[in-house]
Amino acid sequence: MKLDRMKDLIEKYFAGETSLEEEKILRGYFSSPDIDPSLRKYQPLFQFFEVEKDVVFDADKLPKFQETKTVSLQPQVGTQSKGLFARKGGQFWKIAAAVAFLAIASVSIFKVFEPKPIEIAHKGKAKVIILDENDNPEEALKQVNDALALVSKKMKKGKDKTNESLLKLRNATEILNHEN
Amino acid sequence: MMNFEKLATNVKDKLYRFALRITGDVAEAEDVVQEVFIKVWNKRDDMQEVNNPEAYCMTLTRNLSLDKIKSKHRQTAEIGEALQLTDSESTPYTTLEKNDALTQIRKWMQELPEKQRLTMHLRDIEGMAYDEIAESLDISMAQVKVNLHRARQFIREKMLATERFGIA
Repeated sequence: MKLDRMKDLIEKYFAGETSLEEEKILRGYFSSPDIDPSLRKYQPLFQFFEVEKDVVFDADKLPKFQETKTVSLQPQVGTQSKGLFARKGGQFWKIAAAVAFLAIASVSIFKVFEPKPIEIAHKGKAKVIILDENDNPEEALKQVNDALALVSKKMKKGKDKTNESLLKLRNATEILNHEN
Repeated sequence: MMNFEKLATNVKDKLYRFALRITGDVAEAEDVVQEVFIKVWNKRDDMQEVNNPEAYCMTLTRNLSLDKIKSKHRQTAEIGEALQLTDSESTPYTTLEKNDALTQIRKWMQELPEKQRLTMHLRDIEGMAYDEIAESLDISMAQVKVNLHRARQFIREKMLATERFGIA
């Protein structure tokens, strides 16, 4: 009678139709010394399950956490939420420091890569400034006019010097002609 | 009332066996369990809203274990090769190594597709109910039953073939 019952259970087991209670009965049967020879071939399978259950995790290898007090995983009666920063403790200062760092870094990077006006020195006396497109157009026009005026003045000055040199040369030629 | 230490004590062995079944590697399984507890600890405030912390831990364990496998592109078929136990580490596995029949069954289990292997593990070794298995593996109860049926049939065929023909 018991053998028939066990044969039925083992067939149900392999069909995936046994309940937890029936599987417990099977484990008990296959852990006993009184196993029918026709079912003995299945004994290693149930022995395997029992051996595997004995594999344990070494408690010493559990992570060590800083807080020593136990933390409830269920809501406690009478407790209220303390808010993000209050609950997280030092989190606020970490976030504040991070924001300050990012702000300083952003300003520094902006300064480094900010387009600057290109200055062309002219013998240390005057300079032409090529302005960025974002500057005031009127200011740019004024500076261009100043630059052109400077060029014009220098060219006029060069013309005067040339005329003066030619005059000196003519005088010298006349003197030589008189002496001859 | 459940607390973190109690949860860790209650589920650490189950998580470890589960991770070991997936990764097939003692060191990696230990890493997974540690990572699971670190994650749970860091989210301990949110854990108040988790209905089933144990199933939550099982899901975390499964995901982290699968990540480890994917990151290393490893196959877990040969669990025996991955176990590198020293003589001083006397665990049930060392006993199991001495038993060819049990070693063979473990090898067959590792040959099963992931879902079938984990379903059989959670049912036959951890004794979990269908709904708990479904939640832990994120599959339906119908899929749990199908996976369990196929896994057990596979193992049975292997056992009978070994008995009849002496082949695995």
